[in-house]
Amino acid sequence: MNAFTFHGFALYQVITTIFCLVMILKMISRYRRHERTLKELIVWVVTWGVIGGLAFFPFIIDYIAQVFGVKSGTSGFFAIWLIILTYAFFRTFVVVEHIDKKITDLTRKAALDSHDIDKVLKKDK
Amino acid sequence: MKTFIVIPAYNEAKIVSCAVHDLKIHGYRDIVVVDDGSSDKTFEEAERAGAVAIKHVINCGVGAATQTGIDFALKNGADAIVTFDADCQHSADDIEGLIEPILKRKYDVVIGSRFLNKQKIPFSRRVFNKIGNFLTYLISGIYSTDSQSGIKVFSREAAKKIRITANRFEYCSEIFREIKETRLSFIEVPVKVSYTAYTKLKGQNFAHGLETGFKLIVRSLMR
Repeated sequence: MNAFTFHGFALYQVITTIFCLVMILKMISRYRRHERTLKELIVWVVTWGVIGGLAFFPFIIDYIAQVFGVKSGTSGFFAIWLIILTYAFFRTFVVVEHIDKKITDLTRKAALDSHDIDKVLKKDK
Repeated sequence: MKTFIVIPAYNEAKIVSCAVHDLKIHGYRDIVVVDDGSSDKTFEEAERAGAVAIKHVINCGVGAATQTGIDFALKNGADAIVTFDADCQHSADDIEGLIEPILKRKYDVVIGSRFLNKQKIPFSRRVFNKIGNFLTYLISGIYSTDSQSGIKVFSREAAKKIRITANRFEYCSEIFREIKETRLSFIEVPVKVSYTAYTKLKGQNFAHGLETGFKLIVRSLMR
């Protein structure tokens, strides 16, 4: 069976590139809504840009595969998904860190407030 | 000048009173022990020794406990804030020399360095510290001889500017980044350190070190 191609591009190239473009647009939109800083925008645009670029120009992956001694360049697809999984890992890490920070802030505030309350109660006695 | 001593402590019931007594003998009265969700009697022991004890209901990490102590000190009018380890590895003797540059208003932050003078320090600690110094340099551009030091002094103004967001040991490196970003001046002053079997068990092990390094790098990328 012949692999599906679109204007000479393989299906995985089309899907990955569209996915990356959507993610970049999403990040720009979040930046414009002041939900992301400029630094975050740059990091993610570069990250998605690199993933999209690798999908669009798979010979880069072939070259990297050769350098690392991977025999077949067809593993490019898996390499791209490996990058996406890495991204997912980092993203999860950031979310967990964010939640951790909120819990910490709450714990710290509770500790200081409860100390103040104890002080007032001791004075009343 | 009102000096507050902040001691973050986690499961240090056996030894926290030693640090508090040492500080009291040297005339320090405003001692705050932040019990970071200990499962032992750290809180009670700290109070019994005469310190003000504050308790985190859950374990948040040494960075978070330090920030709680600093916030408490600022709220209670501290002019200088000293962070001090609970495991008695530091000597209260050194504090006077550390506070001096703050008293003279020459520097905003003073770092107590274990590596400026020759003394017995376990090899593993030397290695961890070198790695910590390198990572600290990468994220802050500041090279410190003891980036992971637990004994530091902040002027009131510096303590107000520095915000510790890292919960665990990576907060030490974060402080240097804050120093750089908020353009504070700092100096390193030699301090004594004594490693006992107890203190060797505490602190960072290899796994902690890796975790700290990883978090530092990821946080820097995500900022």
